[in-house]
Amino acid sequence: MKIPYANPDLWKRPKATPGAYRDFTTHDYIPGQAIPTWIKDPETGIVVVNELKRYVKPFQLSTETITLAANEVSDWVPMTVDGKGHFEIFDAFFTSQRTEGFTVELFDPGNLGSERPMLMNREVHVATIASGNGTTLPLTGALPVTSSPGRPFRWPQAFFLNVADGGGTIMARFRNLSSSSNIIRFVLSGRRWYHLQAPWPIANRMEEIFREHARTFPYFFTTDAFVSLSALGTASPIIRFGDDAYVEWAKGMSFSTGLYTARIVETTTKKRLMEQPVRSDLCFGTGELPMLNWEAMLFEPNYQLTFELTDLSNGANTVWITLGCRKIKLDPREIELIRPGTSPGRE
Amino acid sequence: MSFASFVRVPKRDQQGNVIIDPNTGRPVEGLGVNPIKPHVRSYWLADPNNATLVLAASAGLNQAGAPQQLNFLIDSQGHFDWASIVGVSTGVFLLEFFDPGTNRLLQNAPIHSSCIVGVGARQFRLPEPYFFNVGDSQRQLKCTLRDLSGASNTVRLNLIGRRIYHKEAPPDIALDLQRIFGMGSRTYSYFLLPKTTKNDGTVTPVSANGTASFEFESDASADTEIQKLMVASTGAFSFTLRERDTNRLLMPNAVHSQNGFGNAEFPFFWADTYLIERQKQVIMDVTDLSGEENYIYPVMAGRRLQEIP
Repeated sequence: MKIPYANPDLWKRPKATPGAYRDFTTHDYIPGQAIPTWIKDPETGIVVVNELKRYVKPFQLSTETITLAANEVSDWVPMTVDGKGHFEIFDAFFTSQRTEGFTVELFDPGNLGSERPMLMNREVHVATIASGNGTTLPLTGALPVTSSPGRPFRWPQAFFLNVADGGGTIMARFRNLSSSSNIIRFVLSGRRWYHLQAPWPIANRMEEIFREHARTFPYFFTTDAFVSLSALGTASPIIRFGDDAYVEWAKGMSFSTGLYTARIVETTTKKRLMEQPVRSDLCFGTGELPMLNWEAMLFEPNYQLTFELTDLSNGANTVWITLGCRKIKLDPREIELIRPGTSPGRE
Repeated sequence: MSFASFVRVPKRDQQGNVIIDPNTGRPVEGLGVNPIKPHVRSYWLADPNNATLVLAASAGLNQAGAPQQLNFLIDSQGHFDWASIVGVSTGVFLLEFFDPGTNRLLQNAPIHSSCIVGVGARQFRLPEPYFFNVGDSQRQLKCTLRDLSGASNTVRLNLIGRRIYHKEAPPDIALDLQRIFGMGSRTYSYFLLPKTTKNDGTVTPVSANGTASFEFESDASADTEIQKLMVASTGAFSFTLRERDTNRLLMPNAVHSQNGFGNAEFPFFWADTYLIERQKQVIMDVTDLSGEENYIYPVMAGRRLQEIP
């Protein structure tokens, strides 16, 4: 199919670039990747400038500097983008004056009523969903805060913030975890889709891409209750995935005041993800270097995981665990399992 | 790669016939959960009897201690596809893996822990997943460890991968899984070390500002495809790599160790994988830059292609 908005006047441009006529994609958009600048017209094979690229720009949305008093919970802070185009969020960053950090809650008020407002089940520690804390590795040593922007926390799935229909705002609430005042910032990073400034064929294509993502979005699950382990003590918090969607767990992050061991068990089936408890730094990463599950695990609605935790620090240990997931909302007519010889639609 | 969670399949009517869209003439597609996916889970494997292992101190730094063994047991609930290595320890150690099920060593000499043991945040990924087909019984992976630090050494070692619970899946899914995984594999992850590495994993140090040659050989039983390079050393060095039979250099000038080798957390990847054919050798000529006696433990991680006559 010929790309409808390719401008023939631009087709001569790649002639000046060696190799421009080979190995170019025919896709004008590949989810999760930069928009290809030059693409191959699938009909003619000619390399053309991707018109989408002209109307998609990098964008960062930051809070103002926020000063939180000791242990203060902020009001809901609006993080608003103008109405010129959708905002696709990929990464998150933060700064915190205090090493204890702060917690974050995010929701998209523009999507209230369309069943995708919240981005986490409860407040999560910022260092488990954003980069900005620095990190230390056993072999490599300390990776300082100043290099944190080089290790962005990529969300498990890009989040499309729809600026149409009165949207364009992420509401954020922060809680200072320090017993001293704390100056913080929180930043969302991604790209803007300036569909309102684009010619209608391009704007239509952008809307089409946006609609393709309507049923999946990132979601961060943390334990259903706060976890504080006593010295060498144990606890078994749970994480319950909601009843509204399938959940795919892709990344595991943790922030704690001491080391601990974890054994993760599927509550209902008693299936263990490890027979022996595993030390926290061997089964979780951080916001800067998350633990990447080689096999993204799919959980049906209402699934529940139990985390059997034991302190190793011999001191009071506050544990924040966050699972980086994506939620997938299926049409009820499509959720029948496909088995060999059957498929959705077959009774 | 992970299994896809959702797949598109043609919709069928009650008689099982594919429904054709009259407008396009193509089958109508539906989106559904991949039936295999619910039976696959991430998995952390540890020795069931030794969550931590205390290695007896060796006689000194860079000397090997007495061997001790971890037995990673894969029960018969399902296959295990091993993808990465993580661990923590109070000192450096040497380790080697042996798969008794296939009578296969996964390296030609014991490996320095800093070269292949990562952490959760930066796991050491095997060049290709190593598949344990449990069949009707359990499988085992034996890991022999020796202290290299000269002090009592507490080690935690975990292998991360995914379990494929084919036995608890419905029969048709179980058959599908067996079909996908039951065939066995001809390639497997392998660690190539210099031939001069001693049987206990220790190395002869390079003298201060001195030179030495390490020879990596792909033996007669398999071709070896190298993917990444790691090293642990007590000082900086420069090196060149050349093929023995062609005398072809992989770099015209000596390269600093920091520019050509990584560690388990951040391995060095070549721009393309490098094939060392069977019975071919690669010579690594090193020159010490530290001005002191230098213990160098280089490792090439790759995969082997086993020829089946």
